[in-house]
Amino acid sequence: MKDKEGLLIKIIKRFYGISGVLDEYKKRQVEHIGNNAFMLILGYMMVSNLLVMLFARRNPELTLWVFISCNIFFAVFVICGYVLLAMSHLKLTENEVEAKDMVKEEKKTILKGIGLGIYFSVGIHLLNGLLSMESKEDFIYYIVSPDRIVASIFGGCFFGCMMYLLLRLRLKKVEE
Amino acid sequence: MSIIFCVSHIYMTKQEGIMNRVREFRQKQKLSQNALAKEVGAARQTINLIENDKYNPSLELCIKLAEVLQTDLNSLFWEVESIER
Repeated sequence: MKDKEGLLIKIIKRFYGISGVLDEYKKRQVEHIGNNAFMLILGYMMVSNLLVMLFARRNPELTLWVFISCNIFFAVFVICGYVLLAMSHLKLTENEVEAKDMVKEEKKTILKGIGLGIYFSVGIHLLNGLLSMESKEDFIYYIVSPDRIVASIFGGCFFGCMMYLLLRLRLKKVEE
Repeated sequence: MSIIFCVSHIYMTKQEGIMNRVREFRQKQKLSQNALAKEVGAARQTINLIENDKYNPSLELCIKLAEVLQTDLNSLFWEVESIER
């Protein structure tokens, strides 16, 4: 009775870190969490925009930087923090695996960690290369520089290990 | 007298909601929570919550559960208006 997952379902699962099937209970909880997050964002937007309007004339540049910093802080720490806490509190991120499949799932988790590490290495290397162009540095020179390649590889290894640990902690053995 | 009434009233609190016999029928069919979850297209966690009366499933899921457990909705779910403990 397994329906084929649509793209939207896949995005929701990836965004909220849900493993396994997204059934009606999980969907309902995700909607509830998403609704709370939306209300938080709306409240923040109204207050922050009002404050920006008040201070923009007096000191526009400083106001802009403070506004951008506050937006990033709010999105990353408050909203993502709330979503992560709520999801882990409701145990929606747990990946339940039957005892007989545990070894197979552990291997899959290692492969996922390696894959994510490689993606991160390549992505961060290219992104840093693009950002280096802002400081008048040559993109190609940056990309082929051995020091930068090693730094990106180390970054990827760290990220891959962290992701492996996170995914491994979410694995939960279920006895039949 | 009124104190005794209040205390007894608090003790005999009402338990309202939808009760079910999913666990009983599942065990009769010799199915694990995981197997039942796979059959109805839900997560094991959801079946566990339903069995412990912590989640009221949708009508669609109720019908699926009744079909898999080879019973009818009236036997599987019923509404409890008041139970005196």
